[in-house]
Amino acid sequence: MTFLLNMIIGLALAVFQTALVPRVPVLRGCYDLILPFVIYQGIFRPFGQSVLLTCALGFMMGELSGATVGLYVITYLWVLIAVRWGVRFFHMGNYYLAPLLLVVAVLFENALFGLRVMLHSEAAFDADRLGRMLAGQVGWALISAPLCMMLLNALHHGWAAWISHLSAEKGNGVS
Amino acid sequence: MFSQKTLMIVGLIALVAISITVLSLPNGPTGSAPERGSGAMAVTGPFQRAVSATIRFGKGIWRHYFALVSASMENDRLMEALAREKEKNNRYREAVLANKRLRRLLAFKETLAHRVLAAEVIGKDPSPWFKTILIDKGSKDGVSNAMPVVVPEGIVGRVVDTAGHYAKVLLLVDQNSAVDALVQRTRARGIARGGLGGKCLFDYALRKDDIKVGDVVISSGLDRVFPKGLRIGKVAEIVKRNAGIFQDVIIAPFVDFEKLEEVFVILDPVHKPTKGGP
Repeated sequence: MTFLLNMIIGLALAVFQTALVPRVPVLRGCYDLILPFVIYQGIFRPFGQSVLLTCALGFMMGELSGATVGLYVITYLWVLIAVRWGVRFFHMGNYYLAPLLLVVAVLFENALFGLRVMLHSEAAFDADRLGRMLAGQVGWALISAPLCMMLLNALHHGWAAWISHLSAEKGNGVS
Repeated sequence: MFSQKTLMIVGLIALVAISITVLSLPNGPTGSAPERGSGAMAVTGPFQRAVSATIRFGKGIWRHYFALVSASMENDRLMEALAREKEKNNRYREAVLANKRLRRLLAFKETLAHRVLAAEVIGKDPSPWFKTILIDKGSKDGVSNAMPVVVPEGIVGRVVDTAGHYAKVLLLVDQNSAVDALVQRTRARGIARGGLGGKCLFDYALRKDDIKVGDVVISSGLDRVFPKGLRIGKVAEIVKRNAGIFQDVIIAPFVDFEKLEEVFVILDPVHKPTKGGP
């Protein structure tokens, strides 16, 4: 059931990012909104489920994007693994490091995508444009990371409470 | 000395006498009542004024309170009505703009010698590194891979993926995009490829070719994807290096890819030049 919720959240984020963000000028410089979700999965959710979800999200984003098949999947998987590693070794399972994690994830994703583009294009990078793009994304990440984490946590807790309430009702009905 | 009864009778007589006297006294020369001094008035006046003022103030507050409540309610009503009208106005304005855009598209459609399908842009690439859009027409509408997508300004890109009623379009400015092109003025040939920063590169343009900044670049039709004569962009920059047989030419596309809303998919692109084309 939680997987279903996660897929709905992922789908909603993807739709928001592809259909709404490009139409709102102030949001145009925003980072990939799936990244905080992947980080959240890495910190708070079981690893097996997170890997499955991350692959599904990566595949979906790849389908919506002009990126090479699998590029999103490997990016998200690397972010997930890095977050899991961080959680395990630094015991950082809380919100305080969320902005830092998100900034690192955003930079990592851009580095990976940039590398992919660089390897297959002879066009020169516009450093000024690239700098502005990264600065915008990092700025957004710093501002929104704690909010994203809290929102996701609230959604999961609400969902868990609802499911347990439903189960209890069902149990009462049966007995 | 006097009995109580006597005192009462005397008092009564005195009162009657005083009454008769008072009643019989004449008015003053002006006909007004005789002046009786202003001491009491002077003492009570300020208090009376204060009380009156307080009552007036209270009445005023009471009256205004109700007036304000009704004014506030009316204000709310008017604000709501205004918001509704603004929203309506905005819808009308949007409709007018959409009408203009669609008229332009329609006019453009008339110039094309191909079967075209109008589609709406429903999404854009989530990553700034890749340039694709999603449109609301797909394989079930007759759209298939490699079909060109255009707008009146010029080439948008080509379809790279379809699914039911949706398709993904690789934009001209994506680094994976390439169009066989030529300079309209001199017919110099090259390949228009997506570059970074929203520009295109005009690759394989020979050094000896006469190309100037401002020259219009169009599709050549030789790639058998894009019909001949579709506008791509104009030459924005030329760099001729000391060595090499090619020159570096940068094209600024005519299409504003940030503002795409409706596009045309050319359903039968091969072997049909545009009506007004070269």
